[in-house]
Amino acid sequence: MNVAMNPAPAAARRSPIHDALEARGAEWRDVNGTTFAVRLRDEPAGDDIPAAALCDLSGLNQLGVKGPDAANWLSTAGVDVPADLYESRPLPSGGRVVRFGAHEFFLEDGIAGSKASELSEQLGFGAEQVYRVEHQDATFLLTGPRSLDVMAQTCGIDFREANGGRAIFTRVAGVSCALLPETIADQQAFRLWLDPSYAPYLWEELVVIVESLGGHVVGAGRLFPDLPA
Amino acid sequence: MDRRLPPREGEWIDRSQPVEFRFEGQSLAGFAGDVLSSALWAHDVRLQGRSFKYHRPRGLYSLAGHDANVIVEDGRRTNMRGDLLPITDGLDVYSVNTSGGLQRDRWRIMERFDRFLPVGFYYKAFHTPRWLFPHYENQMRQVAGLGRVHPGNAAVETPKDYAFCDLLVVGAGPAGLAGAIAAAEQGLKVLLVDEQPHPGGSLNWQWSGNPAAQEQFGGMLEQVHSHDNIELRCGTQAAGAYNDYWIALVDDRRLTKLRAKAMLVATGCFEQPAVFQNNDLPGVMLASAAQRLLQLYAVKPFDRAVVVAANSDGYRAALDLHGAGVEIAAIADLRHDGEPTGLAQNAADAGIEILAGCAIAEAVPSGGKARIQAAAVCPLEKDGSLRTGSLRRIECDGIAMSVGWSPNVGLVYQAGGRFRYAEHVEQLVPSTLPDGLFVAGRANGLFELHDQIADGRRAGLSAAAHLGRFDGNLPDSPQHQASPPSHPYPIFSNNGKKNFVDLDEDLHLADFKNAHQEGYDNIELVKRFTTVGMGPSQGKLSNANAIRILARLNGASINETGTTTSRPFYQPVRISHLAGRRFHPQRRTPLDGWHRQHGAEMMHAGAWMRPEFYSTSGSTRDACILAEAKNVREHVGLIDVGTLGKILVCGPDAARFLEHIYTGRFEKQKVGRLRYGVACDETGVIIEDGVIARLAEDRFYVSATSSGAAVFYREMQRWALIFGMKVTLINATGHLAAMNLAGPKSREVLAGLTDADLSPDAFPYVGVKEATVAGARAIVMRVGFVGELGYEIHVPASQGWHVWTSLMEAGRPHNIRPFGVEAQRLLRLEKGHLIVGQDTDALTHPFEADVAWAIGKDKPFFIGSRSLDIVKQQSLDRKLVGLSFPAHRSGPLPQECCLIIHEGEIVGRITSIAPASTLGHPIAMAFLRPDLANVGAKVTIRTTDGRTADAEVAAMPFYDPDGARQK
Repeated sequence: MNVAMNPAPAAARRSPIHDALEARGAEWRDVNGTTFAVRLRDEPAGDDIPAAALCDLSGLNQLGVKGPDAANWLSTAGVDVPADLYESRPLPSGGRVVRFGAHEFFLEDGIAGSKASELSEQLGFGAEQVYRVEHQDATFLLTGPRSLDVMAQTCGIDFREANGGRAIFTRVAGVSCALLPETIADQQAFRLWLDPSYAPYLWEELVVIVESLGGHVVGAGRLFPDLPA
Repeated sequence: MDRRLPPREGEWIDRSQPVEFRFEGQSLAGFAGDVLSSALWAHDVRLQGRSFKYHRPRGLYSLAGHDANVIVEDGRRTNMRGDLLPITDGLDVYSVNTSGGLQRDRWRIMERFDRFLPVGFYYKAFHTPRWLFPHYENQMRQVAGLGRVHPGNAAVETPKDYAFCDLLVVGAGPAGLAGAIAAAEQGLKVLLVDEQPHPGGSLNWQWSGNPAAQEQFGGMLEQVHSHDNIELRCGTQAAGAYNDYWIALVDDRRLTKLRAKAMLVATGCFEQPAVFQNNDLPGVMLASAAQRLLQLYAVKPFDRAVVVAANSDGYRAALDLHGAGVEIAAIADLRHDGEPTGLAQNAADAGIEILAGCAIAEAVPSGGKARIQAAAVCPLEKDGSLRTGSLRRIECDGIAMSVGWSPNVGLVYQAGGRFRYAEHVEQLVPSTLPDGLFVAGRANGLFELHDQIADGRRAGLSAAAHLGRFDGNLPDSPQHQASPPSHPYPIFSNNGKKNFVDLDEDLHLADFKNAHQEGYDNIELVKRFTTVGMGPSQGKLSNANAIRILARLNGASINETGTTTSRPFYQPVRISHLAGRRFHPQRRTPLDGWHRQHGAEMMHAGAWMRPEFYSTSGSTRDACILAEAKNVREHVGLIDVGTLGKILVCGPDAARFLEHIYTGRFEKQKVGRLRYGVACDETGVIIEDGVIARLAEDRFYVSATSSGAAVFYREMQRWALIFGMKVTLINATGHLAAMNLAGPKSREVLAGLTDADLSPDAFPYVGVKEATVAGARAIVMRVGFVGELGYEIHVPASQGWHVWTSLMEAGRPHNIRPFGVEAQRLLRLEKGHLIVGQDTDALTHPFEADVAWAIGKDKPFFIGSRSLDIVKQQSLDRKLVGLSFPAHRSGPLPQECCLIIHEGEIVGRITSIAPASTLGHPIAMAFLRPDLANVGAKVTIRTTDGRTADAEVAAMPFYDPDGARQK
């Protein structure tokens, strides 16, 4: 009985909020093997960032590694390993690595980078004392002048004093998230990582709040105009 | 009659914005900025509400948000206070607590029965006979209460939020403004809140005729508005203080949970009423209410008034009213020595008669009691009692009371502050305050404007020093130098029965005397017996007088008498504000959208949404479920099992760790093989089950039940720490999509999509492989939960959709169709597989559940092993068995949890049941007494409608007992 077959081409990836973006008339673009909604039907005209802008970046490649030798393995692979818990460092070609625990790291490529993706291939199912942590996190980016107000309605942390570059583990609208304060186009921004099974729920809640504050859901193209074609 | 005055400096109404509204069906007009009470009074509508118990006429009284008898509803919102409710175009409100309308309220007859309604009458009247109590209760509920809740109204979501500041300043009056500015100048981030729509506090209505005060006010306001460190929120009440300055702020739209590093309370005082006969009727009001009406809303309170005073504020009020055209017939000054300041001369110069050492014995009502027509003024004896033989009637349509103040310091109490009674001001002042809490202004016993401002500045700097932002010398707190601003006992009895102490609850002086006679001599007990302070205004206008009355009845001082406990909230808070947006996180698998697009009826499964079954046009639910199950048996089906817990256990001690967690053996488990595992708690109760796949020597992949996975993972983490083993745990539950391809055609469907060798030898039953499926990195397991050849495929969540749709496409020639949770439950029931949590309960151990085979022999230890060693020695009380029902039967089928009855005794219960099965008859799983559990034994089950159903104990599995089909 012939039952062994060749593998199919790499499986297409899909954002956990694909349907919600599709309903907003998303214009999709493949970038480095992943798919982004670059523009949405009801986005305001122009390039300005609205009062609050919510963007889905779940297409970014991610990798989690955990284990006693994880730091060494990353360092050997050319990653600038964060020394402190919750600290983040940039990846060589864009993106970031965050220390989630004493022996646990999370890597996410930037729009242009591919380091996390390369290391993922390299790690395969794992290595000696280095274990793959399956990270399929939803990545939401919230920015704009009223982004703090959105956070104030969903989270009990004072983000005015939050240190950019350090991840914060908290709950947003009741969902456990890792959150990284950052700056985009001189605007305060928050990157949220969360279990993808909660993504449709949290997205819906955030959209309601963002829009109640005069904000909009935007495509990745608005926040990253240099998004590769 | 229009009582609106020409425009006044500082008025809060916007005359360019007329507003049309309706009250009790009557169309009226006002201006933006008016509250309902002011707009009504402007039309000389004095009857604005009815009292709680006697349904007496009530009108505007404090105009400060405490008028608990002027409460209205609009059919959507209820219990809105007239002195807080802004009028808006289209507002259409009715008074609550009436029958037949405010004017003709049928319940006003209650006043005639007042002798039968003393405090606590319901405690004494309705407890016997007991069988009548439900009737009494029903009647009481009909009569008592205020507005009505309308459950059918749509939910309102409010934007509850969090906020943070260094210093919260509560109250934007003179002291609060000064405190905020002083603290902000030292670099503190200050949040300044005031419940009124505009800042300024008493500067708006009490000092409005004082140019120097107004200039100071303007200067402070400019500083507040221009200072980057100050955020001013008006229309915002600090509703409650909790530990560590966690403060609830409430405004019209939302509740804000504020974390402050320190708090300055500059909330001022509540003016307190005098107690005399008919002191509750429309036309009798606090002097500050008359001033507010005049200065804020430009409404003339009365035409001819008597002012009863015991301080300088009463004289200021009289002069303000006089200046606005109100004829002041007299000032009845409770003090025998009269007013010591120049205000007395100013009043005399204005032609106002001053009656020193006099009180008001009675407000004389007009017909219907909706107005007053005169004040009965009476000289006071030196002991404060009325010299009733010398009553003097003074015609008037209004009485303004200015006899004293009580500090508005509920927040201070809640934050841990304590108070003492200070006789130099005849009010409570702070005695001890916790670190970070500051009080200033009138609440601190300071009544002169310059003292309040100086005290605010002192408190602001003190807060800055407390937070390490100021190290200079702190100014001393000012001291009140003049005569006491409050009268020690403004309570006068003329043997009348309607001299009210608490307007909310219709409590009059005699009620307190009666309570005291019955032995209630403690303020907390008096509160509970009389209900003083338990109405909507929470005693803001009644507690101070109640304490004075009790102190006098006890012959004790105020300090000895004490105060009642202040609890949140300061004012009633809408339920919608408390609820906020109601976040209820819900989990969805990556295939959720596909299920919905394909007719799935979704169901809640813990935090998850899952397809219960896929609806087919023209088929019933049960028929759809049965068809899905049959398709699995005959062809191939695909089910989304992404909700299963998915935990990686890695490290050199992984196998040993699993041997501790589960009852079974894993150290010798071969790589590439699965084992079934049962986990117990320390008492031997089953808490989890699942499959354990060995992916590598040091790497296991464990599945857990959908609803128990999160807790089980936490338990594993806890035990890993306790055991101190070299093990790494990874919870991948939400990050992996999972699907079970099951049925005789499943191998053929999968074969075209994977690089794995699926031949039975290379990939036998209970095997596991890491492979690719439809291009996705996958863990593929040969499982048999539904009793057919099957592959459970786990892939990254983002690729779940692609893999699922690829399988559905590949399965099309083989009649593939999706199946839902219910079909899976049926199939596994046919196969006799239990579901932890459904077929087990919080006491079930492996011996009862017939999974003792999963306990490893001669294991030295696993969690629960010691308990199971003991349990094993005991006889079973119950046993999980199969039940078979006849194919052709009549009458209802039992449901899950229906009881099995034998000779009148409960001997078991159904845990799972399938009304229809692929076997052609209903089957069930049940706990049953072991002596009745022999195969073939007949049992009787009581159905939910009280009838009975017969079944027969059957061997499990019902289907394919040899397991040939799944291999």
